[in-house]
Amino acid sequence: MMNRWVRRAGAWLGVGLILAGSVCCLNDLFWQHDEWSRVMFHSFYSQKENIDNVFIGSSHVFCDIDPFMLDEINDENNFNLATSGLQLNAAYYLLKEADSRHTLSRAVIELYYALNMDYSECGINEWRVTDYMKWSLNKVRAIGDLEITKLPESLFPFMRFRGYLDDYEYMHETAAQKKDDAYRSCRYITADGNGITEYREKGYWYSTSTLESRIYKRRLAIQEDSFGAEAERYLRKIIEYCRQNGIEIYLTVNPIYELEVLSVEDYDAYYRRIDSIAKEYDVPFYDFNLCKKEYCDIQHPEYFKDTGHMNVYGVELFTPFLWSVLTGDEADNKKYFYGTYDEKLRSAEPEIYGLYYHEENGENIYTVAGNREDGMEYRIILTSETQDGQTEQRMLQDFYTNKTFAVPSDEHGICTVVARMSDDPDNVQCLEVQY
Amino acid sequence: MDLAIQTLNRVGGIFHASPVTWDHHIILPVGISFYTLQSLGYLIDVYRGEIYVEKNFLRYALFVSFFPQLVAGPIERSKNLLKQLGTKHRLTYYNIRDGILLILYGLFLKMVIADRAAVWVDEVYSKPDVYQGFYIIFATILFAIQIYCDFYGYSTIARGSAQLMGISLMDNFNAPYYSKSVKEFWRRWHISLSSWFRDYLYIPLGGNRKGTIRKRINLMIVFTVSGLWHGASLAYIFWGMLNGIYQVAAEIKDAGKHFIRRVLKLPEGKDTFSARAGKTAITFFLVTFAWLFFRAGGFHAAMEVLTNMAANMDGLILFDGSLYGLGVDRQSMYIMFISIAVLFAVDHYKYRGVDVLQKFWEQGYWLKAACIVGMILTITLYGCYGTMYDVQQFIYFQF
Repeated sequence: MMNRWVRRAGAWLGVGLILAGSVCCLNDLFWQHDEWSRVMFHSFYSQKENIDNVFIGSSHVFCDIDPFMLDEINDENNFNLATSGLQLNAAYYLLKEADSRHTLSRAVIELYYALNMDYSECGINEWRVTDYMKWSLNKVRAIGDLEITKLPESLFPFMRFRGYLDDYEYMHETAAQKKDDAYRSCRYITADGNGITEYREKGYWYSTSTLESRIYKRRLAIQEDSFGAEAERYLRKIIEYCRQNGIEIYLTVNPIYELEVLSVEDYDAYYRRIDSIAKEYDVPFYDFNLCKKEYCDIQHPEYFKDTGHMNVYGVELFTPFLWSVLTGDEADNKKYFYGTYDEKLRSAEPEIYGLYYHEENGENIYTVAGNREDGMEYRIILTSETQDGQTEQRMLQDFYTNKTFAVPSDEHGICTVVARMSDDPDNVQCLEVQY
Repeated sequence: MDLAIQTLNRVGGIFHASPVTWDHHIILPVGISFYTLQSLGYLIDVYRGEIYVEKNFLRYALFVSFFPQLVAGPIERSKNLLKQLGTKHRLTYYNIRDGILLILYGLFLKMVIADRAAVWVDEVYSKPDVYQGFYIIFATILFAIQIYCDFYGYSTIARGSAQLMGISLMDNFNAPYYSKSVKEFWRRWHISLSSWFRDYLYIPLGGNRKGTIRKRINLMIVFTVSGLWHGASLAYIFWGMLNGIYQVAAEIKDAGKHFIRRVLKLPEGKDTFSARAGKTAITFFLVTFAWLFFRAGGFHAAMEVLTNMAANMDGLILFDGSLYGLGVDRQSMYIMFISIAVLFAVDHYKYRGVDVLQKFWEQGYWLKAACIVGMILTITLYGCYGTMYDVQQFIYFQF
């Protein structure tokens, strides 16, 4: 009797082992890791010293904050616990993960607008967290929080790459990636734009690229009720968790280049929503997009690697300022910020930052991003190449207040915008962008 | 209700009566059409004295709402399921083993074949004026496979889930596409429903005991009701009637053939392989043609599909790669064909009366292990689910 059960158990164990072996092989062949998340988690789990301050958020954290600089400033251990596109549901489990391994003093939650609207695309962003978290009850809960249809793919990552089943080049590339020295030693360095990007441990993405293109495809237009219900639910859970566990919590929004902020059209609606939640819990909230120029003059292309992320030069300027605000008196800190984004625009000298656009019925609708709603006049000239190779120049308007124009999606060329204030015609600004 | 009001308005329209409106959306309980028949069967069995009166309400409630088969059958008989629920069950190795294998096979049918075929079928049937001729013919054949795998897949998963708990549910399908007549097809397709209609409708109506004409009328009634059970739409009723007509026509043909043979003193035809294959092919064609009405979803839509089927008969599309452009690429199509071949191979043994499950466990260890691991990997790699696919509802959930 006993023998029979041992034999049966052995037989099924054999099946289990064959299956596990097959899954490992398939993972090796198909699973292209999210390199950044992998190296960040490797760095996180190899932290020997206690982490005092965690900065949790998306790429806007790991690109914008230098934890090494903070270490020197505050003589504590700081860590950017951030992955690309991180949303608040995954942020909640990341916070718990950090808290279960370290005695946290502060948690800074960054709230980039575009990730807190709609969670309909749930899955991929969470996998960047669940794939690399060590197995624990917290990880099981994080996986359990995913949509039920995402569960198999969470447990067996190769299943997400089934589209490449007949792509031998892809398989070869994936297998080769895992033999690479940089992969094995969890290093990350790559050419990026006009500079380099390098992983600098503790969740810091060091980049020397600078913003070149002044054209931006709008991610979304913010409306009054744009803040997603799920995002809000998790934000509340995060705040309550910190409260219960004696962690000082700060809500922040790191600065993005003005061109992107302007593209969302009603940024103040987003600010108001977060601010009301923060006030409800009496939690400090600092939106650095509302920061006054005289305290942190960051809105220059040379401080950004793209419209949403800073480069090393921006980081050097922003990191100490961020810390001084976080540790400053909340009432005193008000002097650094405008009350609304609209107020900030009105207070600044007239300026144009670039063009943002969105697609509509086969056309790209371009808008000149400037800090004046009215009173500004624009001359808009499009230069494109015709089918027979000739250069064609079209003036769409000559110093007129309209700042929106449509161009067929498949048309490309150079757009020249000359702007001036109607009451100061001699003070002109010129912008040339490839569209 | 919709069909009744629709019909009433049509009739009223003839007499210029103002149409009746119905804006209420009735929420139907899950699996209502399945457990209504199951409960009705139990009542009739009790009335006939074929089953004892179940006085334990909880056991009766469990019989009616037994979760594996609640939503889409099989429609179990009280003599099978209720009796089993009254006995003690032990968790046994054999039940778990068989249950797991059945669930895996069911998932394979649903996720690898049915949902993959659905992508192609849905695309063609949503634009019959764009995809004409052989596109529609191929889509209709694929739909025949899709609906079989979808429903058979669900029934097999249900059987497997019940088996894990030591409950044995009836096998709802027995290689129906190997049938040599429509009559045989209905003995092998959705067996629990066909046998329900036979025992509780056809036989009480007189069955074949009241002469040839009555038998044929009874057949037509049964299949019309069967169509109505599937959905309150003229297309389903027509589909049911068409299946009834097939059987009546086959009976008339057989009687005619028999009469001619007797008069001319011709010998009985030989049962050769080609004759058998021909009969199977004709049966498949007839059943598939009827599926067209089932899939189109409405009588007018079915007519539109039929009209477009006859237009632009370009057979080249079957060979020039055009088939791969409708949401199912070449590789995916090959996987589907290989999987269908596996299905038909298994069905072939089933048709010959082999207990496939038993036969499987009699094989050598490595073959069994390879099959189980292969099945799991095929489902995980080629199953239509997750980020790249729209999850398809089981077709029979709507009935």
